[in-house]
Amino acid sequence: MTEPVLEVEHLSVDYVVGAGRFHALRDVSVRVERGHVVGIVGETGCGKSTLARAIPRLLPRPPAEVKSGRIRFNGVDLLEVPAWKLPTVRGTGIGMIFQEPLNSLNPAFRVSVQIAEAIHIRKLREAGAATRTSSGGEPFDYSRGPEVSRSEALGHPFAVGGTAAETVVEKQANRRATREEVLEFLRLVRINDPETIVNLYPHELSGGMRQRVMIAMALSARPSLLIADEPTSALDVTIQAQVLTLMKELIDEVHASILFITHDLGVVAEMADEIGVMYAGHLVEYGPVQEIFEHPRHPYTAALLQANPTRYKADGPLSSISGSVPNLSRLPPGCPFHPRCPIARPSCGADPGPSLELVPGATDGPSSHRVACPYFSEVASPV
Amino acid sequence: MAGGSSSEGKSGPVVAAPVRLGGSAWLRSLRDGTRGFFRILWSNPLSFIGFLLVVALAIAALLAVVAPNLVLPYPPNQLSTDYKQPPSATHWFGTDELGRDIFSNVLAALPLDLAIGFAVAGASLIVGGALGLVAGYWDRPGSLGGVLSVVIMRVTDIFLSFPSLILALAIAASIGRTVDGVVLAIFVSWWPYYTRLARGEVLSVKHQPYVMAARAAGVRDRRIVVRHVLRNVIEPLVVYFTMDVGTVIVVFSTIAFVINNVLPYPSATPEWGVMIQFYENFVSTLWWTVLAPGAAIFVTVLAFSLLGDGLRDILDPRSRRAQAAAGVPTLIPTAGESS
Repeated sequence: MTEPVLEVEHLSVDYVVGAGRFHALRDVSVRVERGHVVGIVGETGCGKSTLARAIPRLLPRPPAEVKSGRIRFNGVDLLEVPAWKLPTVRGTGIGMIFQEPLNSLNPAFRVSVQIAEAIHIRKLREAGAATRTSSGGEPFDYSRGPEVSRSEALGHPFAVGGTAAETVVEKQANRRATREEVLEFLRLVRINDPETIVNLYPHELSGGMRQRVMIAMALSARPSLLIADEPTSALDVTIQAQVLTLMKELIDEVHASILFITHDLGVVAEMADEIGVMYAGHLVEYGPVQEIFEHPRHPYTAALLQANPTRYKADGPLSSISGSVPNLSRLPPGCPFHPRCPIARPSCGADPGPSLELVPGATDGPSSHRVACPYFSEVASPV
Repeated sequence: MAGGSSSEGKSGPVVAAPVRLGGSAWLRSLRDGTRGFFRILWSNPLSFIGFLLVVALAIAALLAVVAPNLVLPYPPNQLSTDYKQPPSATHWFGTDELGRDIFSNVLAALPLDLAIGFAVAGASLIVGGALGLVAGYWDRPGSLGGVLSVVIMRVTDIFLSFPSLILALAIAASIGRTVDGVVLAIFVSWWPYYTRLARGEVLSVKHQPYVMAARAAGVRDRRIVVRHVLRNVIEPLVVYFTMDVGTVIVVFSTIAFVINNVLPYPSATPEWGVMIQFYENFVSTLWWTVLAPGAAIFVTVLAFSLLGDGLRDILDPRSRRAQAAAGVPTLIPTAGESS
């Protein structure tokens, strides 16, 4: 078995706000195999976005505080990388697509400039890696920063790999090459007439177009892992379908692994190979997408599937989960779901809560079906 | 309209054809930018008036420095027998009690006053803006930047706790009653406003998703500040700066009015505030001697304020492109087309 792209192990993150301490993530372990799409589902406030931002260490600190755990990305523990070297990891390894396509592009720059910047950064890193390899270093060592001069780092985005000795002709050639590459990435995300689009400002694009540009930007860094944090939530249903189709097609074309964060069960069913279900900062169930949809083992997953409006029957009321999401600063003891759980028993409220256990019958593997509920056999599969 | 004839007859949507004049992309974008600039100025008559006034003031100031004999009807200090003349065709702004031409003096004062305005506001923009940028972006408590941020902001608080005019007066009075001294004094009391403004803008911009997106893309903090943050906070700063040029001139004139002997008057380089102070005693009889420099201050402040309003529109790509689109038909795709 090859090494996974991303391995999050027992990650716990708190938000410290005033006197309160909110347990945003508790002992979460996620594994993304090379070429796989892993979906993370859960309701608002369950810690999905915290997980997405914790991986490239984009959480604002304070208030966020990583309590424990490891985030192994391509074999490197990101929590060990010193802060000033992080841009190297982010620029080359991990791409991100955000929820807000309206604000994720800088309103002051044309599309071309923004994508060119991503390409520029990638080339700087590649150039840095190349000099290191030739001087006898490892193929790519994320723990070391890129060896680029200050003028290069601050230079114009089109001046790819620019040095003081670069001639005007070379600069023009580089610009043309970068522009070609920008157009290429725009074509990759199926943008019609990229020659016009590159010269537009973000506010002149529709939501779907902006999200495509965002995807193009994330891909232009050629990341090995793409983290998509609710990439389609702000889009209307038709555009959502287009973007999802696009991402599905791109999975094969760019060979990136994807961590897909969403609250939409339909979207994960469509996209993911494995899914993780989160509740109140805990990962309660994890496994291959088909198994979880057909045989949910955790009562929360079952309730979530039941509450899906596509299962709405004309004569009955919409199904919902009784009770409300617990306050993350005062989680109930034991299983976080037990106050709302239909099959809960007194022992469920005792610490320590259940941890992820292999479902009997599932073959033991890193991505096999696991559930954090000892009474999983009582959970009925949705019809 | 002239260029429309070539695109007529084509069917399909009208696309702004990329006109090739053989220039480089840079030249083309410069030309497009200039066009957009004027189109927006045109669309708002008041800011266009402000722009014209500023251009006129700049040309007049330049001429007053380069060729004083051409633009000044009389040497500023020349005494004549035409004393105590009200405004007339020979003496546009009248003469004072010794026959000096007021118009010549007001015009001769223009370069100095403009220079003072730009020097103080410009230095404040650069120093205060840079400090605000640093204090706003690197403000994590406990880090080096956080400490620096606290220090910068507390120092601005100290400066802002004094009324700026009183502070500038006190500093000017203690470091010397010269033009340089007063300029320095105003600057010292001036930059904290820019720091405050810049920091506030940075605080709102740095939490925008596009800054997070840039960080996620691996852009280093320094570059994020210089490119992504600065570009989005420069607009309110520049607008404030433009309007501030006039305010600085007023403050300088006020200080020159209050403090004796900042500039000897009459002299080869008069100054509006000094003139008003000098002619204060004649205000009931020779009212034009005070009104003329006062009006000059008023017009200068007005010009920069109007231009500042227009700049707000020009610097915002949203309004810039919207205005440009109103003038030139461009094909702007509005839906997320897919293949």
